[in-house]
Amino acid sequence: MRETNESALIARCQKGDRLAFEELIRRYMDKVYYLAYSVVKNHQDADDILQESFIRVYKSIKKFKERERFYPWLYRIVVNQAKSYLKKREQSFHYSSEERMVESAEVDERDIPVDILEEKELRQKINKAVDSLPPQQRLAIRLFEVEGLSMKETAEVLNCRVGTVKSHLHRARWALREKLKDVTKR
Amino acid sequence: MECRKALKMRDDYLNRTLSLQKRRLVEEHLKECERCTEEYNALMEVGRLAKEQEIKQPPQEYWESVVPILRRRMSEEEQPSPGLLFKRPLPILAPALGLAIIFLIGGALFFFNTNTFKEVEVAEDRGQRTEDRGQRTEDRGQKTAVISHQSSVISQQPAEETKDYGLKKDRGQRTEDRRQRTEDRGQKTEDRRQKTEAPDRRDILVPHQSTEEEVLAEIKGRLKLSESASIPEKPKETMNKIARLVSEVKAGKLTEEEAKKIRSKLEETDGGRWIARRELEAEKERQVAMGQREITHQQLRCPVEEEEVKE
Repeated sequence: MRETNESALIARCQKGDRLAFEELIRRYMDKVYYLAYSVVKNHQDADDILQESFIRVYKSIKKFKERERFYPWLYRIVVNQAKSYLKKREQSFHYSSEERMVESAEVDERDIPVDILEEKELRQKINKAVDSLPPQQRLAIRLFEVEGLSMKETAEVLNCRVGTVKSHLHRARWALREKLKDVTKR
Repeated sequence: MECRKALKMRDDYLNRTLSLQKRRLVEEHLKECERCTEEYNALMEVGRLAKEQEIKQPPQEYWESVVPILRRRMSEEEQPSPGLLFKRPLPILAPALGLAIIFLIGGALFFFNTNTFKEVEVAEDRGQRTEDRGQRTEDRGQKTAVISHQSSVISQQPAEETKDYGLKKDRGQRTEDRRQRTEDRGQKTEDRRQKTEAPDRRDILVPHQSTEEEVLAEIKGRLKLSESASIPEKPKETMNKIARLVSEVKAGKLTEEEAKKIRSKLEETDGGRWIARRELEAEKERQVAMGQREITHQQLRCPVEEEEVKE
């Protein structure tokens, strides 16, 4: 049902219906934001990428073909925007990780209950491990494992072959397994 | 299924690229094999943990502001910006703009070339005219020589013959008159030639005008300076002193000798040197203009002189 609705919505957007486009934004803004945030690791840049991506979609929605699936097409735009942002700022993922740690350190941990603190530590470890991955591997994990895209769709979004995505996923899994050894054993 | 096979299929299983049949076979093996289950679980856990990655949630206000911000931006995108006004017609205007630039450059080049040609033509015309004038003077001189020779031959004949031939006498008289007229004409031509030739520049510092203004105008004329030409302060001062010198000589306040001494001192000043330099330049310009004529004269004279040598 949603697919049909989405197709109708996109068709209206292609005809220049501004309200339909606003509806499309509402549907995908959180996914776009999280995907952008997972790459750039700060709110300001994630917001910029979100805005630029939707403007790009608005400009080129007429080029979108009906037989394609919309969200891989949208994600591809977001990933390209995020990559160009990274390139522009020459921001490394390691830096993002450090930035994140600084942000986390600002909270007074004495006020947090033990179980939540453990949960927080666990998330910090996961974040640190994921952030240490090269961008392509991280995006492959994000798109395939978190967003639930198929292998083919992930390859389309990352603009590479399916074999390359498999390679990225394999390396990412083994790297994460190594880094999260303590966590997975628990 | 063997463990080796099951582990080989691990990536495909995790990547969801295994066929349903193979997937079932793997799952059946995992139920039986603890070691393989551990291996599979370790990597499946990684995927699960990746989903738990913390992403800092933006405040609710942020989500509410997204659509209005994008609505405004979409409106801005639809409005033709000044840049867009230029961007869109550019592909159409580009060839026209290119042609306009080519015409402008072409026009400018044509204008300058025409002017240059005109200048060359003017100079050539001037040279041609000088040459023609020289040719005419030369011809006239030759004619005069021939006529005078004939006249002298006639005048040397005995009086009886002339008496017998009154007509001849008249003719002789007419010839004599003609010779006289030709001589006069030759003299006039010579005078004119002298006038057109470059005058002696050394008298520039002693012009013959009476008033100071006239002297200055004369100096400027000889230096080929226009009335409005800007003259540096020192040469101007020197010029005024020369003009005053001339008028004082005229008034009898100074003798010619005294004036010459003062003049020679003035010539050594900066202003004097500037005048001398400018004078030299003007002289060069005149020589360039006269050069054509001089060459023409030489070219014309050469054959005559050769003939004379032969005789």
